[in-house]
Amino acid sequence: MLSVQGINSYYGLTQVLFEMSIEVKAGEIVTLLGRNGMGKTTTIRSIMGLNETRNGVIFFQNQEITNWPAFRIAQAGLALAPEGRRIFPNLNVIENLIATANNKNELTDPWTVDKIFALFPALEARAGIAGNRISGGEQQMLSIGRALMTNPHLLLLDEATEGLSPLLRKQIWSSIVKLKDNRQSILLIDKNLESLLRIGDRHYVIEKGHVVWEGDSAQLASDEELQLRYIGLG
Amino acid sequence: MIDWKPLFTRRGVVGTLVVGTCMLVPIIATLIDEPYYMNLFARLMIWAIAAISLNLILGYGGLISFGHALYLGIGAYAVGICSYYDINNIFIQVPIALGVATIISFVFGGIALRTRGVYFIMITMALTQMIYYLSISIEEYGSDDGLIIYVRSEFGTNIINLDNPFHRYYLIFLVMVGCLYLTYRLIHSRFGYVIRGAKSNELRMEVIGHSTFRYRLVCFMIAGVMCTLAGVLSANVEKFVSPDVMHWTRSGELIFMVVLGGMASILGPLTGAMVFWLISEILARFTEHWHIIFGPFLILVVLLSPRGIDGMLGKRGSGSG
Repeated sequence: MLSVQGINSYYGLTQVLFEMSIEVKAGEIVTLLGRNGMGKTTTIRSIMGLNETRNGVIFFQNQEITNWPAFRIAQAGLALAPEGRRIFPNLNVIENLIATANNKNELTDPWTVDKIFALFPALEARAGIAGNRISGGEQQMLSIGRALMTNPHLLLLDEATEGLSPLLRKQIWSSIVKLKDNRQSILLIDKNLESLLRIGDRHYVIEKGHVVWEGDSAQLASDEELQLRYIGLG
Repeated sequence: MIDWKPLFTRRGVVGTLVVGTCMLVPIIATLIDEPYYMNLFARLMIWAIAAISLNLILGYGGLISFGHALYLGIGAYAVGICSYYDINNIFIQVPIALGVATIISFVFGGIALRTRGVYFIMITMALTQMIYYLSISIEEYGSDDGLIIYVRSEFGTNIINLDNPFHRYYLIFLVMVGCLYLTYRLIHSRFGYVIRGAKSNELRMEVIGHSTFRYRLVCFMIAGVMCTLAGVLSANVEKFVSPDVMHWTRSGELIFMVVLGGMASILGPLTGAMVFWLISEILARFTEHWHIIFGPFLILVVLLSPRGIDGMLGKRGSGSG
């Protein structure tokens, strides 16, 4: 479905990604792991066309999307719920969802506002409230809901549970599990290794802009030295 | 059942008062035998239509177009030039005006929307000045002396006759109410959400899969075409059109009206236009140099209430009107 092959990305003159290669297959949940500043978010930004990539190619659904404009990449079926959520503050909850509603790839049974409310019941009660007046957890749900409204083939979640209370984190994780049950492909960045091991199919460990390890949950769970060295969890 | 509740908020009361006043002015003006006020309010509503259209791109879209008076000019000159060639039927004049406005706003918008911020302000102003000087340089159509319109637009029936001041007034009123309604429908549609969302975070809107350029171009064109209607009406009130109508100071006044009334509120441009005109009318009676008082007044309003008059009426739920 998604295949990133040896891309180099830069912020200005500083190279951030070095020959980065990852792959996501249909129906899979893949995670990017690693300490802060190692290039996880940059990888996702490069996939979405927000960072210019040099060398290397990015394929999505058998189409080369390298350095396409962001809106065309999104229309091809990639949706990002970004770090920091970035809700439109001057639109209310429903308006945020409808603004992004799209079904360019003509999926049968597309997402609707009601389905998003069923996935995140907390949002329904806040339907008419401005995007900047709802809680951080609600904003996170809205951010994911907004991405889903574009009916993506692949959902990219960057730090979906960052800064949330344990209870809210649990709600978000259970929603992600529901998405997984619906065979939604997801590429995920998070720090909560326990949850990632539980719902992720495959994992990449990223160190200084390239992949240093890849494998499935069982392999990662059994390798405590790896967890300690690259992810900082013991 | 109709939900009357919004009418009883402060904003609802002010809105009803403003629109109600516009509706009743001809009756009051006739009763007190002061037809002058009818003309004043007719002009005021024309400015309001122009400001309502500017509010679409300026208030909701966050794009500071400093050349919006161009479309007043296109509308007014369409009537003037048609009338010059003895084409007085409004059903020919209006399509010509709107057609020209569509093409020009498409081209100018396509150029200007590739820039942002100060550059957008400068380029919209420059493009309008281009047409302004064009209108000055064409001797045939009066150049800077302007063009007198001898015959008002004709509907080809006596039911609506624009020589009748009441017919004229209520046609302007209806067009204005129509523009208010259209604005309401637009900004509460998915199109409007995209325009408003792009104002707060353009990049995010792109990443979600919308070409903000295309949405903004369409919005720019709708605003231009709507303003052109104001120009058509203006030509019929004044029976005269000159390049002055699209001078850059006119564009500036339109921005004042929108800011004064409250950006991104539906009735804001109308209250803004009303307050703008009434204050300048009153001040002009005392001194010729009324701008000296009016300028600081505007600055005060913006400082004390960044959302203009609308902002003084309390907070709004979702940033919509």
